[in-house]
Amino acid sequence: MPRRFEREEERQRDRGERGERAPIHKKSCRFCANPFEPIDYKNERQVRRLVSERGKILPRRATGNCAKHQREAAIAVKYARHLAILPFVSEFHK
Amino acid sequence: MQNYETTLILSPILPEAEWEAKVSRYEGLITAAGGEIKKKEIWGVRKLAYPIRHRSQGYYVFFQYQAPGEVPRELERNIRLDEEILRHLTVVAKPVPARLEPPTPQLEAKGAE
Repeated sequence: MPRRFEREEERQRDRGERGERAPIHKKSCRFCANPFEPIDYKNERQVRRLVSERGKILPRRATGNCAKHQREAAIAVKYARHLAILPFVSEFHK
Repeated sequence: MQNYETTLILSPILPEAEWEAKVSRYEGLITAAGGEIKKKEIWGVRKLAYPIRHRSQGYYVFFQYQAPGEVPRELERNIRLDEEILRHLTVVAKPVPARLEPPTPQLEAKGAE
């Protein structure tokens, strides 16, 4: 057990050096958990969480979304991009 | 009758009166054709995530309305003719489930055990 912990720590340190944020692993789909706040392309804060720093759509393994909500999420991101709420590419980042 | 949502991005360099005139004009197009405006939000001048037509900001307006199917078509046609509109998006609005009551207390108590 302690050994696993060490490895976990190392992994996080490595990520830190490369300046990446560790994807948050969720067991259950956040949008299934709360049906009263559906995916909304107008909600910048929400929709930002669905893309990487580069502006790419995060895969399901990173967002933890179920298949249904991941499909909706992808569409929402595309709407948001169309309205210039999200960038298509974010090269201004670094 | 369907529920639609339309977002417009107007040119940021227009005078304020012009924004208002345009907003009421499009509003009028919806209501005149038998639509009913459910929600109208003026988000104001926002920074664009990327430049559109060399502009880095836009004046955002959002409508939600219930209208017969021809309305968004006609609205979009007018929008496309308007050179001061940088971007627009019309989608069918997804109904948000109404929060009828707080989660059943019985279930909550059960989960807490």
